[in-house]
Amino acid sequence: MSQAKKEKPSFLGIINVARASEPESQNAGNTELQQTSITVDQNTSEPVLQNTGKPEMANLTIKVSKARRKHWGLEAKKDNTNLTQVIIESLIAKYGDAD
Amino acid sequence: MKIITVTGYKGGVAKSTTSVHLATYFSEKGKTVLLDGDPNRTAIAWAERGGQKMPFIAVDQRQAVKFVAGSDYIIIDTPARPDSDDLKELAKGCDLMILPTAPDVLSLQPMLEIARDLGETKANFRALVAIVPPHPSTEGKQMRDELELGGVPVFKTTIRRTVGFPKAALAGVPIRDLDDARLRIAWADYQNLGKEIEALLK
Repeated sequence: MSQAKKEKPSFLGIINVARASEPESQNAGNTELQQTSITVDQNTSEPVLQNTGKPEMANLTIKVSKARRKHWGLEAKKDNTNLTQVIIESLIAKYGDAD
Repeated sequence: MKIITVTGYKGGVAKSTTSVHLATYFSEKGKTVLLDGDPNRTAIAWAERGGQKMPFIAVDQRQAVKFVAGSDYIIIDTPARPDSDDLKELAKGCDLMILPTAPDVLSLQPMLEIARDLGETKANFRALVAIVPPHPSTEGKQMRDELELGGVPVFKTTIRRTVGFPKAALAGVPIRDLDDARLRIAWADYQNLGKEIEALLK
């Protein structure tokens, strides 16, 4: 009985796996790549690529005084939002969104 | 990590030779994987003939996922005329695409076609004039100059035609490792190309 031919991973899938292994400082670069996870096929023990369809995420850290953080956090809460949302909206308003 | 693709719409223009020698060059700088996407498996066969004495890992698309993580350089050798989806994926994910051409009109036309297709993407690409006949022929220089004048991004380095490349393929080693001092100049071509690429990707 012949076994079904195993699907070749796409070039982009392979590239995503390679990029995902880079330290964050190196891969926060040019293109917003699709996030790819690897699982192991239980029958063949071969790695299988799964494209989750989500963009790869990165941290954006800023240092501010505790007083400012507390004040802005409370004000954001009053507006029924959070600081992450406010910062993202401000950055998009100033510089536009990524392609 | 730098990902470099060597591609084109025509076979026999030194795609695999370029992939093997760039992988050799970059293996002196860091962990390098050569992904042989060509169904002919030219680069893999080249490495296997030498009993895997290559200074890099040569794998096909199915094996690649196991090896690419943690690499410093990935060189992708595509089949001649990759399908348009593959080309778009590569254009999106690679740092540089290299389009080799021989200095003749039969090779030039397909190279210009792929350059036009890549021009519609945001790909970073350069043409490479390879298989250049020796002095006193000026075909290689002429083609390089004309591409530049025509606004096609092109490497300054050209790759000479030499019997050393088929010899190296037969021995299963890069031309750098052949015991023939006369072939050092051909390896120097790829060293110069490697330096140009490093400067481009800084």
